[in-house]
Amino acid sequence: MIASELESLLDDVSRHLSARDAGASSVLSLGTTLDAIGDIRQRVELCGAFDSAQAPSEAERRVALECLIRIVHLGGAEFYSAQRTASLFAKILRHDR
Amino acid sequence: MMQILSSLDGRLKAAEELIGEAVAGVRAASVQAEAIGTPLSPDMFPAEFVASIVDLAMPLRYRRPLSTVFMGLTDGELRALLAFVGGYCDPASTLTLPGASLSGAAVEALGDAKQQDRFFSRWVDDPNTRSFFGVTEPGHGTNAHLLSTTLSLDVLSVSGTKRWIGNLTNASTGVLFVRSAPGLLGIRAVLLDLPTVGADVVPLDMTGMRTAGLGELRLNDVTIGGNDVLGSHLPASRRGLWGMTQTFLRMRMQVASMALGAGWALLEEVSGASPSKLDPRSEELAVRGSALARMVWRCAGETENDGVDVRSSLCKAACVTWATDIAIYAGASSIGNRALVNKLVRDVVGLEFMEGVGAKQRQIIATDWLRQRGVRKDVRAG
Repeated sequence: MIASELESLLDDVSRHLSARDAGASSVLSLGTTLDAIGDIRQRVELCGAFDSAQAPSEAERRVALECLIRIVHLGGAEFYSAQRTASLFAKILRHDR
Repeated sequence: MMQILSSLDGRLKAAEELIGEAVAGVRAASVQAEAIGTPLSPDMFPAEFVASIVDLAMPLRYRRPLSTVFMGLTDGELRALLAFVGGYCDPASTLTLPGASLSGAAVEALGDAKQQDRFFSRWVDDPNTRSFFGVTEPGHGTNAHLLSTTLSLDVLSVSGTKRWIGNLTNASTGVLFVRSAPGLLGIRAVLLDLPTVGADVVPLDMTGMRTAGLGELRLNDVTIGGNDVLGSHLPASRRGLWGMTQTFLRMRMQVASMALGAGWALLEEVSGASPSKLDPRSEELAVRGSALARMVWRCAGETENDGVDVRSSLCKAACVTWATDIAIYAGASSIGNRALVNKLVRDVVGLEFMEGVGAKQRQIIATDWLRQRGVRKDVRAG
């Protein structure tokens, strides 16, 4: 399920940022980090439609892909080189569910 | 195919034709190289393109005569053009091409005459030499305050770990940023040849940029020579961090151009899927792309030091945002499962991490803007 996998990845990114700088990345302030996490979180919720649709529409895939890219950019290079990130990209780009 | 170049500047017509003939072959080979996990041979790119990338990373005195295809362009313009073409053909494989690359800029900034001669002569002797630029570390990226790879000036050895270093798996030489003492003034740069005792190169399995030769460099009491330490002839304030900053500033405009090229390639793929009807989203992205191309080309031509000012941050942030928007659009479209589109989408995502993330660029832009207007004199970019 794409939505739950995105949520799990966001959870890991949030924990990673919290552990590193008590909630803020080295570039972002705490407020900006929280804003980014909140913004992504509400997009993850929308991705539920991706999972429930028989054939995901282009718009649904777009929401999921944007969500994934935002999570990776927030998390940093650690998450760009993570196997689970590659797996999520493969699922969304190949239109698998 | 790539009329964006000649529409920008008539001097780019010959380069446009040269690349137009090669691009399909480079892309097909890149997709195949990624699939089988091997680097792309430089021979797939036009020889004039590779030679110019090698020569432009060195001071004028080490360069060969410039190809007629690129004549009449300033260094800043040529760097922007080559980065655009690289991004348009294959951004990941372009990063594995021979040349002094970022290390060349660092050695130019920090090396004395003998060190420069020793370093750049490698490419005079063997233009196929690859280099690495060792700054980024696990856990804190390029944050200079937290840089933890150490240089012992007493016994002249370095220890620590560098990660996400481009072209590392192919490189035989490069520059390493290390800490010799606490504080920002304790940062130094050293020349390091590979392979060497105590230095292990570990390839990284990436989501994108998989053909960029990214690796982790593990250093365990690696011995260096006294003449490998750069910047000893410079004032303490200019021995290390300054050189790193100068290098990133110069390369930022090139990342902007590379993002522009990769985004343009994706946009053409999407438009090609329905050539008779450009949908409103494609049209909007194309208009934005044309405006960005004009902005980058103007900045590359105007800035004497290859974009070393806030304009390079503006270009980098705007171009990477645009390319990411196209990656999302193309990836989610009906052609998102094509091998080339799939690869370009994943590669574009990695451009965000190069030469400063978007948040950092926006802080630089805002700081400059507020200072210019006297709104905040105390504001500083992080």
